[in-house]
Amino acid sequence: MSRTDAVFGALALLAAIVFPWLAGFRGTLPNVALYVGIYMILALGLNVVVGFTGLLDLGYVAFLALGAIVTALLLSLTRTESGIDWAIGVSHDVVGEPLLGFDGAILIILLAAGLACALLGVLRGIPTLRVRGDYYAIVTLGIAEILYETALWDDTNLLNFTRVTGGAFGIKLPSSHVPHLFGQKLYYDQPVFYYLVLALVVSAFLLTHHLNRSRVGRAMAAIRLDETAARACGVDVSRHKLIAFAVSGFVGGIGGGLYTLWSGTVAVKGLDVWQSILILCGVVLGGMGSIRGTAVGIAGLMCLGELLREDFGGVSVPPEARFLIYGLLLIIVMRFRPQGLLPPVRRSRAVTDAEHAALTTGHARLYDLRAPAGAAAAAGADAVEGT
Amino acid sequence: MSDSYVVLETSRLRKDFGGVCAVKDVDMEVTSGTITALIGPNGAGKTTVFNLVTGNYDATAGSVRFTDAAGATHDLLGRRPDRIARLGIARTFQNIRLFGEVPTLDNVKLGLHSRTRRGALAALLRFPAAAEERDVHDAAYRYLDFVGLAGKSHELARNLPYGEQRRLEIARALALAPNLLLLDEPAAGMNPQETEDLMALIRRIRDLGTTVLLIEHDMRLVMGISDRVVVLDHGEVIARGVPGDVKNAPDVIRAYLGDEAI
Repeated sequence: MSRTDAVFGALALLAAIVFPWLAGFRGTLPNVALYVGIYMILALGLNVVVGFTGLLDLGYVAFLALGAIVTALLLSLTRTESGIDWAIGVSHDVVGEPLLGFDGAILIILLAAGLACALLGVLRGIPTLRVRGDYYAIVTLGIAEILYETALWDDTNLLNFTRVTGGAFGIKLPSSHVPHLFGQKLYYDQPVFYYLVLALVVSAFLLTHHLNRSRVGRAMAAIRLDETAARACGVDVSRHKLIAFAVSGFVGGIGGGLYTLWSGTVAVKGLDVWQSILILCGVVLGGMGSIRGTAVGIAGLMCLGELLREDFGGVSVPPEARFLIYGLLLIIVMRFRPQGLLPPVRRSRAVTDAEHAALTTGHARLYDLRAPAGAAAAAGADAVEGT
Repeated sequence: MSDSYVVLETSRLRKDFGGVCAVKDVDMEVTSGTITALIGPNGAGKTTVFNLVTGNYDATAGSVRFTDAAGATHDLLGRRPDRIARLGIARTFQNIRLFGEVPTLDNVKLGLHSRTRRGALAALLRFPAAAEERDVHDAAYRYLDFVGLAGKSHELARNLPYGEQRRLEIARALALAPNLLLLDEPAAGMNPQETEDLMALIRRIRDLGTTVLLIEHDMRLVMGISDRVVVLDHGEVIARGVPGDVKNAPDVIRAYLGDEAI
């Protein structure tokens, strides 16, 4: 991280911390902030596959949906007189205590949602390992559509998935089942929820930043740039793609879990391909592979979406037309700035003469990885900027 | 050399593409500590042999055996390219395959990939990043220095002139600490001075203890640095031996120049 990045990051974090003190925790603005935060987590997760590894994913909504459903189901587990039951749907009122109602249980539940999505990422990834480019995009699109249709399937009693997903109505979280953290209800208008989302946004930032700068992140970049050359360097391409899918899924699942808490309802109907496109637009607009670009891109897009909901003196944009405007924006950006608004910076600091001398004298064998004493201390370890 | 051994041995190696036989029962040996040149007219099957050895192609028949730096012998056929690279065979490509969009130093860091350990979980949690990253940085820089590109460590690989891109590709391959280095036309597109520097570099690589097998059309380079030469024509070995003998072999002259030249 360069000094400018650190300063900007600290300022943005500070602004996010004090924001609700100015705008309050209740009302439109803080609610939009939560919405942006949740989609920022999703976009950062998608960026691992699209930006770092260079695979176009058109079905990312599957992770949002699965994470949201897993969270909703675990939260609605209810201990009744006759045993354990789900409290799903409006008409399916169950009287009893939530099974996972203890304080902080939500953290375990979010972890479970993330792990479920990491597993989905790997399972979805295995059949796609051999396809690249457009073919990969089509497969992800297809798998997301299959999952979407399956979730709404209520043809027979045997394969009635709406009993789990709530079908067209979705799963509504009973107010008695809203989880607690640090003694506060995780409601969209509670400070604890705002700061939970903020903490997870920051975690997603750090997680993907460290990944990108690591050995594993370098291998992902190699796969993006040239798979054949990556293999020649000893990179296990399948393994690193699966790692990317798992990490991307995990982050998406956490985002999905927060979506459940934020909206209180999970309806698969609303989680269609357009959600995938929206998150992808955020990544592409901001700059694929760039973490800060992704954050800025998705934030801008979500804020624009909210603005378009507003009524401008009797004139309002119909919901269907919003994607027209997104599309136009995408065309304009791709025409004049194809790398995105804040593309990744791939620069490296030049090595100074003193460092050069320390690095190149006194090492006996070129093939030894370890530096001789003294040389290591003189060399800058963070010469390369990754994000 | 008393302690030399066979690093690479192909026996009856064969590759058919549909009805075309690109490599036909090739028997070849590469001895440790030597520079061996694989030459032949265009379309003779030289690069196909490389691709068979590195696992980029599946052989139709035959065997390829490789002895690593520790002395263990491995059967290479059926292995994936990345596994073969990790066993200790590094290569460059005829049409340079660098990671053009990243700095030269990062290209070499990629070559160090298989020699470092940190897994995915450690990477996500940033543990223990700093020490290993520093080692990787320092080692990558030394490889750049070895090929004479230390001053260009921060430049994007695609911005380097052609000859330097070739040397960068060699640095990246060397970063795997290979026991055998395969160079596919390393002098292609180089001027005489660059070729001269390249020959010195290849000798220094051999002196590091890395065995070199190279494909090359530049006869001055081949005759100047090779210890052994193997000549392929239409997928078959037509001559092998020390450069002086091969140069005057009638079959070789015929393959390159036609019957009238004899």
